[in-house]
Amino acid sequence: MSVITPKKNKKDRNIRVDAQRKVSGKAKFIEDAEYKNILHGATIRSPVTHGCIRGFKNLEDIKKMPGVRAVVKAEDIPGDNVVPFVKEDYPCLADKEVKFYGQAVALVAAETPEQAVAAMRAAELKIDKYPGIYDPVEAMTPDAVYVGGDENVHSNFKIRKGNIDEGFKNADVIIERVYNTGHQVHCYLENQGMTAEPLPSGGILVKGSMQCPFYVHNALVKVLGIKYSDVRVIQAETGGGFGGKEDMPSIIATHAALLARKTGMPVSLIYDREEDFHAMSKRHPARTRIKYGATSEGKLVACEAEYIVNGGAFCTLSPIVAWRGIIHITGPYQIDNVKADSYAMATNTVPCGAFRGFGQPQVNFANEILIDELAEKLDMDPVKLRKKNLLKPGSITATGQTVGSSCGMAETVEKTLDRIKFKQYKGSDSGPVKRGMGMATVFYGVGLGAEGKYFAKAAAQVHIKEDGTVFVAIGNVEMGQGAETVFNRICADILGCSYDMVEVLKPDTTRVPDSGPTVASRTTLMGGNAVKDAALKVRESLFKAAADKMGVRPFDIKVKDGKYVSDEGEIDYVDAVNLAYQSRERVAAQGWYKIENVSFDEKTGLGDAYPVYSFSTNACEVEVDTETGVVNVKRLVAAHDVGKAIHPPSAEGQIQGGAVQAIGYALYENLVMEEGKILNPSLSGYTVPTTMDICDVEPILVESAYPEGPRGAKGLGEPPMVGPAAAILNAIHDATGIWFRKVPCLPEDIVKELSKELK
Amino acid sequence: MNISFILNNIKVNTDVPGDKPLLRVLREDFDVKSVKEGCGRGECGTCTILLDGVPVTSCMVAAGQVRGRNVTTLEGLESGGYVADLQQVFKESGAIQCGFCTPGFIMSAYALLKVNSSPDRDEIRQAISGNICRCTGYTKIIDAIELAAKYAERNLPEENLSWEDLPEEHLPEENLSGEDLSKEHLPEENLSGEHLSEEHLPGGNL
Repeated sequence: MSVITPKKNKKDRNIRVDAQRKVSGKAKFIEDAEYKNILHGATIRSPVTHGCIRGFKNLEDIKKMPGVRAVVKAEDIPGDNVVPFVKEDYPCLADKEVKFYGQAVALVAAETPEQAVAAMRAAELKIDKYPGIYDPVEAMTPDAVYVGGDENVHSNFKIRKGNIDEGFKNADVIIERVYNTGHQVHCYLENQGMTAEPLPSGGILVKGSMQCPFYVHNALVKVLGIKYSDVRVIQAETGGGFGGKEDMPSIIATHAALLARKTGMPVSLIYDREEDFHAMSKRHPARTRIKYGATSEGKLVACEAEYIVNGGAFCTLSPIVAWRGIIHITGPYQIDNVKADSYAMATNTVPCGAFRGFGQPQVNFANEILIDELAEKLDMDPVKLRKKNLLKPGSITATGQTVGSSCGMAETVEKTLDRIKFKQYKGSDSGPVKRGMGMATVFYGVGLGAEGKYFAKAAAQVHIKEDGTVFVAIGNVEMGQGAETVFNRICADILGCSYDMVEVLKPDTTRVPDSGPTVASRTTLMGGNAVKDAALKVRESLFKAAADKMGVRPFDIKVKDGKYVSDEGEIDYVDAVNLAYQSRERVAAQGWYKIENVSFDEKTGLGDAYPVYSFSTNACEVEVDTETGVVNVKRLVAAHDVGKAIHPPSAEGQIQGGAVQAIGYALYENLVMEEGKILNPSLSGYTVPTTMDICDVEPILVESAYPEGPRGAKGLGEPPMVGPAAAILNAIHDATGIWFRKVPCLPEDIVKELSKELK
Repeated sequence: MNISFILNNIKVNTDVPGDKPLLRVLREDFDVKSVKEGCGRGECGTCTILLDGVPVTSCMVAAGQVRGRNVTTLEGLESGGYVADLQQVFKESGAIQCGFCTPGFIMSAYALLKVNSSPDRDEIRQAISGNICRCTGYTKIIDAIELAAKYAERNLPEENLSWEDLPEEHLPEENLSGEDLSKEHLPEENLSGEHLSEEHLPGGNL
């Protein structure tokens, strides 16, 4: 058998494994699914934010419309009418009460997409309208309309560390501010979509755009009332997720499956942009109040905080968002006395869910601006104030966790400030356009942590074929972030084969066990370790076969440059595979990884919240046009301690893409709601950054290895989104002298404040 | 309404309502799947095609408008040598993440380089400003287009040119076994060293 020589020049190493199919336009997204006879679904939605459905006015007419094959209502659901998330409060289809504008009430399947949409639009519901509540703080008042949870609280958490009163007593300076952050919409370029196909066995096959195939599998079992083995979920190529395809796909999958079961035919349910805006989850808007106490030397001695997020009508993932927020609310600083509370509130707005950063951008925005304002009050350089308090190996976090050896916090600060040549302008520019610089530091708990402990596991299978090529089956998805490439590199480097010999398969829930969701920057750590475990097991077979041939012991062999080398000689990887096949050694293995060492005491809020933290520093230079209020981010440098970058170009891409989403969050992305209804559900109404709005983000990779991670890697996906907003608003302050405490910080906000100054 | 037009250099004919968006005509009636629907309202650029050589969002073009005109999609560009280089630099530069916006960006970049073979970064920004990418933050896409222009000008030292590398990396992924490694199996779009006659040089086709 001829050997494919590993060719690993830099350019080959840089090319992602999914690049060719994507650059050629041949990648198959769910809208590209090919079926001969497929029906098209549409969703009939609530036209009110709160009310009671008394049925259809024209159900029989709709059923008779051209091409219509089925209408499915709540009463047609064979299993439980609930899509399981953290709690079980979200009905698959509204039964009586509807709690937000756009909530799914019924489904229709027709022969063409136009016919399905026509039937959906023709549907008229009989609805009694109820008063609604749209503001999370208002939802806390005693006479507020009841929406959900326990007195409108989906969940709350607290941290009590040290003695908060003593802490503030010992403070020379105390500062307290409130910060507000708005909704943010994921705007993945590919809208949500699923296909469902009845299987001859009576089961159901669902394919679609998703981050969490196992969530979807669980939801199908629950809603259809069938066995786990009757369900098969395969992830299709996924055109971006950013958290928006964590929880929501479970809803769309159950809807598509209900229509497929009812009609006995495959059904495609693909949203358009406006529907996606109205009905899908968003980043939680938040009100964050923080109070810092510091000594005159700049030592932070106390932090009191309250974090209120608008969870929307149903709970979905709000508890974990509120939890991640509170764990990180003090900022990346060691503070001995902490009192913090977080509340996820129910309102009659679209349910909020996962979005890159998951509750952290909101709190980081608050604590990183407040630390600058505290520095001003202390008459101290904000960099110096941070350095006095930043976490380092051995520091204690807000929850009492000791920071481990993998902590590149200080290095990210040094490298970022050095690259951007950090200096403060302090409003020194005299013209109408003023420059300013700002910074923000971030720590980020990798993975789901103690509150998501149940999911802290991942599986993989590595299967070597006769010619040495390899199939890697995984449970975590590629959604653009580069997971396939990371798994490819981990597997290929362990086996000693070339990258083009390793084919990473799309997750299929019948192929690998539940690997938890693809969220929380956990995939490289969890899935990567599972692939590593499987690859090492299979390599034992190759070592044994090669050792027998060379007359050495298996543990005498090392992998070097694609060869299996011992003192007695060397064997090519492909020949070792050949020998293993001849001697019928095991050529496939299942890998597994789980996390045990996390804890959280809900009474005190103390514990080892996450297995490890990633650290980052962002700094930017802005120009503020004081006449128009327009802010231009001229430079943005972000250094991230990722443990180890397994595929550096993808790591850089994560940093650049996350930072640009954060620029949008800070300056442009403004979701407007009136009485709970979104008024700008489009990409021209809700503007995400284009090439004309942003600068080139300059990423810096810092590698402080995490011994438990595959090759030392930690997590990276989310941290890039967390810090830039505060850095930008700190820079705006440096330019203008004004503290802005809300995002998006729009030109009109800036002009308004500046004109107040003039008066 | 019966509509004839030129799709990727082939004369085609279809019977569709005149107001059917070209995007859907291409996807549904001609199975052209590189053209993606991100918004259906001309806001995102994922469905960018060339209409008589000019980049447009195909969701905003009615079928009736293309009668007798020249429609080019990524599929139609693939047989030309130049787009292979453009695709190669997108791959090398890390300009791709989820990939949903990628065909649209390639179409806009192709249209730019056709009229401006050495754009600066601001001109590149302008040319792709109608294409939204939510993953990459754009920098690596701009890098890629800049690199493509440099390839076209042959400003780079020869050893940095990807097509000077050995042909293996240009093989389509399915050709993994050693037996298939003969030159005869190379599809035309994968430029091996031998194919690099002057006529095939990037820029030569423009």
